[in-house]
Amino acid sequence: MLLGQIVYGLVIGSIYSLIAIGFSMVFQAIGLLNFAHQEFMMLGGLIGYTLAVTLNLPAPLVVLLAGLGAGCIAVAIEKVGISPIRHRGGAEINLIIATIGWGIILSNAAMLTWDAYPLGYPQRFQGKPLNLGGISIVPQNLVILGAGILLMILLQLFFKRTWTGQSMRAAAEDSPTAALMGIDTDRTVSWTFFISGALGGIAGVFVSSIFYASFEMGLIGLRCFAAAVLGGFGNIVGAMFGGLILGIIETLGATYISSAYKDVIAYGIVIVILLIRPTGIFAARRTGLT
Amino acid sequence: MRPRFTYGGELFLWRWLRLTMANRYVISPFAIITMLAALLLPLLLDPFGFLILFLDNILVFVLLTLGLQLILGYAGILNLGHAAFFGLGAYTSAILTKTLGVPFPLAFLASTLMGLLGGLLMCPIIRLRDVYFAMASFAFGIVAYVVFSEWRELTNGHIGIRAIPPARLAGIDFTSSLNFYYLVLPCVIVLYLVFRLLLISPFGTSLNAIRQSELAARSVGMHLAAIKVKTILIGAAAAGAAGSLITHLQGFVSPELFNWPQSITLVTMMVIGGIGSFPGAIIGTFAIQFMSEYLRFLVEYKMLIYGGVLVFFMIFLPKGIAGVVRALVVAALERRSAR
Repeated sequence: MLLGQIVYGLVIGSIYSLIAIGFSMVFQAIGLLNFAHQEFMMLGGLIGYTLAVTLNLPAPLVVLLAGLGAGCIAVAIEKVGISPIRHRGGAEINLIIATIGWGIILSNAAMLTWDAYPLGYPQRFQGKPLNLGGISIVPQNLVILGAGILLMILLQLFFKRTWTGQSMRAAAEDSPTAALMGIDTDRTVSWTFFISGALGGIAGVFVSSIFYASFEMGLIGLRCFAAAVLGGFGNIVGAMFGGLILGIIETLGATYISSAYKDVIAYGIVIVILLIRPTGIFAARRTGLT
Repeated sequence: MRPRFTYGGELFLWRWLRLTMANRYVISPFAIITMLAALLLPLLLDPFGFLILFLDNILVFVLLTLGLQLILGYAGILNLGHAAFFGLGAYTSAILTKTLGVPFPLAFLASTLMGLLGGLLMCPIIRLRDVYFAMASFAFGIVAYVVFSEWRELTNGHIGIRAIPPARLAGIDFTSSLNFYYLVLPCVIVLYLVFRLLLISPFGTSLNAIRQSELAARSVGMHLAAIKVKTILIGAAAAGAAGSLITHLQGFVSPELFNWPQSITLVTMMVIGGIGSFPGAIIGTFAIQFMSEYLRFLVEYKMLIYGGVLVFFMIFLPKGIAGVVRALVVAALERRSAR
C-alpha cells in the first residue's frame, strides 16, 4: 500500500518536475514569474488529444508533437508579448500581468477550439495493469516515470554539452556579460521559452492521459510553482527534485492526513522554505533575502 | 489683460494642480469635482436599478485597490495575496452578525481589526525580496482560501454563509442599493483623504523615497522593513473593512470571491489604472469592473478580449490610464510655464 502510494507519488511528481523545470528556467533566464506557464501544459494535453484521437498517431509521436506544438506557441508568445515589453524597459509587474493576460487568452482560445468538456484519451494510452511484487501498477505510469526521468537527463546533457545549452546558462547567469561575449541573448531567451513550453506540453500529455484534457487543467499546473520554490526558484536540478518530493508529499498527505488540506501543505511548505531557505532545499546560489 | 486669479504669474488653478501632483496639497480641484459628482450621481440613477448596485460593488473594490496601491504602488511590494485580507474581513463580519448577532458597526470595526491581524500574519515574509515576496504572498493567499473553503464548522465551506443581516447604523437600514451607496462612498472618500494626507506627511516622503530607489532609501538610514510593515497593515485593514461591506452588500459570503484570481484581478486593476497613483487605482477598478460587466455581449469571446486588453496595455501603455493622463497634464503644465 505504502509502496504503491510512493510510486504513484513519484509518477505525479515527475510530471510536476517537468512543469516546474519550465517555470524555473524562465525565472532564471529573465527573472519572470510566468503565470501563463501552466497553460502550455493545458495546450500540450489538448493538442495531444487531437493527435491521438483525430489523427490516431502512436503514443511516442503524440508526446513529441504535442511538446513541439506547445513549445512553438510559447516562443510565439515570447516574441509577440513578452520581449517587446522587456525591450521597452517594462517593470516586473507589467511582465507578470502580461503573462496573466496570455494565460487568459490561451485558456479561452483553447475553450473555443476544443469546447469546454473534459476529453479523455483513448484506452490504448493506459494499457493493462501489471502486478509487480504485490503492487498493481498501470504500465502507463511506469512509462511516464521513465520518460520523465529520461527527459530530465537529456535536459542536463543539453545544458552541459551543447553550445546552445551552455550559452543559455551563461545568459541566465549574467545576460550583459554573455552578450559581450557574443551570445545572442534574445535567441537564448527564445530557446528558454521553447524548452519550457515543450516540457510543459509533454507534461500536459502525461497528465491528460491519466486524467483528462480540458481548457481548465492549467489549474493543476499551478501547483508546480510550489515545486519550483521547493527546489529553489531558478534552480533546474532543484526543480526536478522539488517536483518529485511534492508529488510524494501530496499523495501521502492526501492518504494519511487530509486531501482537503493538501494545498495548505504544499503552499505552507512554500512559505516556510522561502523564509528559512530561500535558495530551496538544494544548492545555495541565489538568495531571496534583502 | 492678465487673468484675475494668479499667483506669481501662474494661474491659481494650475498651481493648485501642480502642487497636488507634487504631493504638497492634499486634494486637487479634479478630486473635489469628482467627489461632488459622486455624491450627486444617484439622483440621476434609478434607485432600484442595476447600475447603483453595480456602483456599490465597485466602490467596495475601490477600498481594496486604494489599500493595495499603497502597498504596491508606493511601498513597491508585489502583494499577490491581497484577497486574503478581504476574505478575513468578510467572514469576520458574516460570522459576528449572523451567528452572534453583533450589531453592524461593531462587526465593521472587528473586520477592520481582523484585516489588520491578517496583515500581521503576512509580516514575517516582508523580509523577502521582490519576486520572492510575490511568491510567498501568493502562497499566503492560497492558504487563506483553503482555510475559508475547508474550515467547514466556521465558514460552512464552499456553500458559504447565507442570509446575513443587512448593515444598520444609527437607525438607518442599508438594505437598499441607494442607502448602501451613501454608506460606502463616505468610506471611500475618507480613505482617499487619509491616504493623500499620509503622502504629504513625513511617512509619505519616505514612501516616495523607497519607490524611487530602495537602495538609496536604505543608505540614508531608513528602516525599510518598518515602513513596509506599516503600509501592509494599513492596506490590510482597509481590505478588512471592504470585506465587511461586501458581506452586507451581498447578504452572503462564499470562498470563491477570495481565491487567488481575485488577488490577481486586484493587481490587474492597479496596473491598468496606473501604478503609484490613487486616482489611478480608482480608474483601474472602474475600468476592469465595467469591462467585465459590459463585455458580456461578446459571450464566449469576452475573456479572450479581456486577456488581449491586458497584454495590449502592458505592451503599449505600461504606465496605465493614470500614466497617460499624468503625461498629458505634465506636458500641459510645462507648456504653460514655458510661455
